[in-house]
Amino acid sequence: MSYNLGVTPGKLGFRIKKMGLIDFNRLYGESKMFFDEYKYFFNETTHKGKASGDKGSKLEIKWLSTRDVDDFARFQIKVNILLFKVNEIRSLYSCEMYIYVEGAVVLDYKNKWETSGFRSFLFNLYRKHIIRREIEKDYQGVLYGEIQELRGLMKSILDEYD
Amino acid sequence: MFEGAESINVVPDLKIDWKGIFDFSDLYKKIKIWLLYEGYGDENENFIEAKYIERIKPNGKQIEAKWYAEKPVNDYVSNYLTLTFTVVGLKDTEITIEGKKMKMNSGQVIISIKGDLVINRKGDFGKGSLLQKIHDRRLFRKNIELYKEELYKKTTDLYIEIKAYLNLHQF
Repeated sequence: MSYNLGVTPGKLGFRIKKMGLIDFNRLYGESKMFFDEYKYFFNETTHKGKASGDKGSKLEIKWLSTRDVDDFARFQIKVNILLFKVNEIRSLYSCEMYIYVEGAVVLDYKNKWETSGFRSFLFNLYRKHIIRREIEKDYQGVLYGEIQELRGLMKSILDEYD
Repeated sequence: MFEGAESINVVPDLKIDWKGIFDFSDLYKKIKIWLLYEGYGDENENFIEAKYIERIKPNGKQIEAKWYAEKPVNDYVSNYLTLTFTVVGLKDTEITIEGKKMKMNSGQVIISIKGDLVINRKGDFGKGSLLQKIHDRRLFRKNIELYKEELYKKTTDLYIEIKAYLNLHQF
């Protein structure tokens, strides 16, 4: 069984909030480009929209991006974008927006290790003691850096301080 | 699928959920045409509408449908798409666009698309055979990665087409 090591705080990860006018098309496009640049396997797993008349529409978008670092570890970034009270004003959007960015290193994503109790024991020993530092430095550290970059990119598009 | 065939999930369920005005009949046809054009939609060969349930409810029609579409890449590999449609509260409505009255639907439509790569599709190798392992992991590994990429592109293309039809955000 694979093992997830979170690199972002809490259950939902980093949160970015913005109320007001935003260039959503730019945010949408440039975030996708970020994943392409870092060779992530990008999937928009949910695109949920609701037209609600005078109050403005609602939008919920979920992305799941993965990158296989090697045969043992995979980077996974989940982005959840929620928009409320969306009204289009000259190609910009007036809305209330929440973005959650969550990252995890998925170890043994090919399920090669934990096929038996003994192998599971070996896996835990290997993970916790033998390559602990490599996991922290080469996997968690790198992914954390990439998530920070994505977060910075999103905040800069939203004209927020970083 | 033949016995011994192995399915690898390449694209997880991509979900489009839209509540508002749309033309369901046209959308349904457009997706079928896309599948036909791309070589997935021949009902005698590789396309099955495995489920179609329509219920009349007080708040409108409720439709559930499931499609399976397979496209052989070669004798060993095929692309397998699973599409699920759920429509809730579907009602007929009339809207005016540029002075012309048009018949449309209002309601909620949820479409899920899943893409799997089927290897050993004809079951030439026995299930879990050593020969297949050597073939897939050593000799054919790079090709499988390429097929996965192609399937990913195709599935994403369909997803983008549906989003464009519903006038949702594009990359």
